[in-house]
Amino acid sequence: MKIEIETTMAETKQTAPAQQVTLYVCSGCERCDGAAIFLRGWANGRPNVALEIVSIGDQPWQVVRLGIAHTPALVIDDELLAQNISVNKLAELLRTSLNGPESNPQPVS
Amino acid sequence: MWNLRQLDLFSGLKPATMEQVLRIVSVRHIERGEYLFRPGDPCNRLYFLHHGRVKTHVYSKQGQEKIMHIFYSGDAFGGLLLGTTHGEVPWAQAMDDVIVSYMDENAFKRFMQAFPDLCMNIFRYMADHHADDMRRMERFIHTDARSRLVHTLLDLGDKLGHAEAESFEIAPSYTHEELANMIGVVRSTVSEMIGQLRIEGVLGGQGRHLVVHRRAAERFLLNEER
Repeated sequence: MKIEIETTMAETKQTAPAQQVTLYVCSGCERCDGAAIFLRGWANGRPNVALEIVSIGDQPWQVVRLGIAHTPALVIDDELLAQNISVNKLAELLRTSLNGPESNPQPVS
Repeated sequence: MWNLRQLDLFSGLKPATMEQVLRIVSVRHIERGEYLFRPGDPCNRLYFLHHGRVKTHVYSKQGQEKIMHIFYSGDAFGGLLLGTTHGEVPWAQAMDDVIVSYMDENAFKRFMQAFPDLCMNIFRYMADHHADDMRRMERFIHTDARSRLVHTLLDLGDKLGHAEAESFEIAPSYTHEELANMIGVVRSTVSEMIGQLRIEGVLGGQGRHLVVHRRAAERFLLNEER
């Protein structure tokens, strides 16, 4: 019975819908580079996360629609969660917003 | 040209309303250093600044850049609704990667029909800030360069979100050259004034890191006005 439950849980994990994580960046933004590098590392090995790193110039309509005033800006499932965010705060936000206590991404120094 | 600082017209709009607004406004990305408009361009749009900074400036007869305003996200500006008697538009240049939305007259008419309450907010805002601009202009006419510098630094602090801070840092991206252009003096004069104000305790920091001590700055201005 226990084995069946574990299998079921694994199947659930594999079929769980991907969470869309988008980081909006702009040129000349030092925090943006660090945040992008960190997120790429963090998303690696997380099949349920679909990561996009987007320059604001490529999606200006989205910038207006989402209300992005400062970069880097973190959007998860079309909801703006944070702007002008440092890597440490990004790590903390991802830990509490997405995978809960299982996730413990190490911030890039 | 209209100067509607911190209008934040789109702040708090429901998603469905924002979708309707986006059908009316045009949206544009401007790279750092590029111009939104220049003298000679028609002055017939109202711009809303969503990301980045835009500076408007003119050139003196000696060719020196004179900054008129620096706009931040949430601000609105432009010449829509003004008649033809208000002179030439200034240069408007992106200081960062900039995202603006804008309306011309036809779009603004559609906007008024679709969003009359938002339009009323714009008009109320224009009236309030006209009075503020008049007060600011009067202050500049009757004060010396050092006072203008301190006023400008305090205003920058308010705009950058430090209105309640006892001491705050002005970002190094505001160069002495830009501060000089904002108050109508040359860079070397600003550098000299900053040095003197640091000795007097009104300002702190070293080199390009400029810290403003609010109370000391306000005391300085009170003493200068006597």
